[in-house]
Amino acid sequence: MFEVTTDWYLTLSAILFSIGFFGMMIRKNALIMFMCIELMLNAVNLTFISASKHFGQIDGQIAVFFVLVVAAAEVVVGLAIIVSIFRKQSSASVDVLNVSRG
Amino acid sequence: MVDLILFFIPSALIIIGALIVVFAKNPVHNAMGLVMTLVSIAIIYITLNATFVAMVQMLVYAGAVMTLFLFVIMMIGVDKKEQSSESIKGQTFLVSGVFLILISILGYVAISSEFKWDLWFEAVEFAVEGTPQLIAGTLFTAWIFPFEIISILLIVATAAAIALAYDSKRKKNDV
Amino acid sequence: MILPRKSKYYVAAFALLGTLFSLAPLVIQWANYTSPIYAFENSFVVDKFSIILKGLFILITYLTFLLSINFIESDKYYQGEYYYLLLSSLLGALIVSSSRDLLTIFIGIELASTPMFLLSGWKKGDRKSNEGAIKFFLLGVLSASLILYGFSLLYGLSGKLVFSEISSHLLSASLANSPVVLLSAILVISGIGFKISVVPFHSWAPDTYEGAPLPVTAYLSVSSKATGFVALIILLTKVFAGSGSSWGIILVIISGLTMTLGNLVALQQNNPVRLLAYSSISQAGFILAPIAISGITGDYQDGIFASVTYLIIYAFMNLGAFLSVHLFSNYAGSTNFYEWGGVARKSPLAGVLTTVFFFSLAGIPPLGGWFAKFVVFRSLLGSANSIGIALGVVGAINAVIALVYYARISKVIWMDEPKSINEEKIFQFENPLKVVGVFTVLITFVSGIFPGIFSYLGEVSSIFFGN
Repeated sequence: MFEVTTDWYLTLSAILFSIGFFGMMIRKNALIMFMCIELMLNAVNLTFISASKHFGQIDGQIAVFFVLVVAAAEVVVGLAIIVSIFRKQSSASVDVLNVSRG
Repeated sequence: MVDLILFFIPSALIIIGALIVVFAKNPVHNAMGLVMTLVSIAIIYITLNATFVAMVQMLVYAGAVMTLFLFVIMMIGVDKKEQSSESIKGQTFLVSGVFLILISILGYVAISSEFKWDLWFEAVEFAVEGTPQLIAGTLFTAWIFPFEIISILLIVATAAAIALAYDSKRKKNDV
Repeated sequence: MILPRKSKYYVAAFALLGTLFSLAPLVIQWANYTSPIYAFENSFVVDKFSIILKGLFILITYLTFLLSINFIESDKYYQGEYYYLLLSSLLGALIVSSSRDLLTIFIGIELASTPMFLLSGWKKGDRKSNEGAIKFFLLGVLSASLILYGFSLLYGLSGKLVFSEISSHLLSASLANSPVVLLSAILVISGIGFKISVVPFHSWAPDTYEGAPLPVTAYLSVSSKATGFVALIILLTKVFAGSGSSWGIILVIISGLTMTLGNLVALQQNNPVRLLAYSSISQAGFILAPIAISGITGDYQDGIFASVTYLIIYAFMNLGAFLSVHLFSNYAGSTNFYEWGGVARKSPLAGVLTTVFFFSLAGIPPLGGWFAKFVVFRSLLGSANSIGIALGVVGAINAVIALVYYARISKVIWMDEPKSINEEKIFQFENPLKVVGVFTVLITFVSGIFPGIFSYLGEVSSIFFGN
């Protein structure tokens, strides 16, 4: 009766995705928000891999490969922006940056 | 039995790591939580026959990406206090409520039998092992076009990141 | 960074020429067109729809380059990288318009938006620019992960990555209205919603638009938005076509909210860039409306036709509007347009151009914006569906509200008493900018007076939907 099925993996990835989304909403620090996005991307990868196993196909793993590379590129871009902000005002919080509103 | 252990221990670690990422106050702890999650996900990948992807996950994510993160954290400094003021009143409360609803829907989906993936589609009996040969074979035949584009994306990221983070004050004549 | 200052000029010239010449293959493809050509195992297609959109993207980028030349030559910017990044973004947009599988379209969207994250922070050391960049970046990556989660659910449902196989699988397994497909559609819509800045997902747009260098803002509000819309149209009609009644309702609500909220906030703005940001949010609502209704009625051809027509006309008149904002804020040295009193008298040409663009955005005949609005309303009211008619009424009210703030700018620049006019100060209107102005004005007039040229789009969209 207790057999690890695809559902379990999909549920795990859904939980991971929701935790990442939750963190994205409540945190203000740009770095930590970014880490939460990494959690969400990993949830995506987990879904792809478990579906790939389910269907006995390789395409899902190829998709993960692409997501990984895109995520790595985004990390480079994001950290460059954060560093260039830090140069100016030595803080990486999104809320502190609110010069303009409305 | 081994199946169960190999599923539950990594997934417990994944969720604990994710919670550390969300709730820890010190950025270094957040980063360590993220490493924990990423490594446990790599273990899950191995149980799902995706050995090559698991290796890449370890090397690229847990290795390179996390090093970058830690590098930036060290550069910015860990002692910066995060502002806890809410931009919308009761934002945290609201988000927590939405989150609880989401989780309970997920729980319902996971328990109720109509939504069982395995009922919709039969799991395939023969397993595909994600070896480097197989992945490379597929990647360089069917998916060669996205592969080429993604190389451009990487060049864009690298070149522009250098341009953006480059300190123009240091070499004024060169700019 | 490497070339000496003087030769930076060649980079711009090379980029301009290259962009112009890249139109040539499109013309040849158009002339020799017989039937859609598929490549890379059905994941890439060349049909008339994609050729038209590619032409649009290339023209927008060309005009953005012209806008940028003088702007970017002021000392603060890296020029070589600037043009390279814009060209990469263009490549991403081109890929999106002919992609037919989940991976290619995702990488196209990312390639189109990643350079924009960097370009919006291109004013180094400017606090607003940095703030805009980080907001844009975080929400952009969030939207990417939402889109991806939707994609991974689709893959989980069908085991396929190519659109045609996914949709046929969803239909044959009668899953088109299952909750998981709906969840995946919602994720994709909200992810792309960030890119096209529709209302619940618009919060980054005004800050980013204000902070970014002005040509980048113009590009963001036109090309990035168009890329998002193209991706949305392709995904909704190629993958989620079977569950139209579900996403149709969601999009109708989003579209109505977007028009109304964007307009109401735009009324209170005094910064012209923020005003254009909110006005472009509300225009996005108009572009979205026909697709939304087509989901409910199932008449995708008409929806695609109306949306794409609006998108094309909007692209040129909005570029023109940014051009005039650039001219006047440069001259008046103020980012509050109430202080622009009488500046149009200083340069009547710029004044006339501005009036044309803003009246066209408001939808006054015989300018292009009128025809765009007409097509949208025809599609909404012609649906003979109570929801469509309700959305049409909301749109009509909003068109009237929008007239107030569009006309206000024209009134200020022509009729108000001069405040900041300095007789000695020369009104700068460089030649490249004149080209942009004349070109966009021409398109605005032609599309308004001879709307017949758009009729071929109807045929094109039917071919697009048919294959």
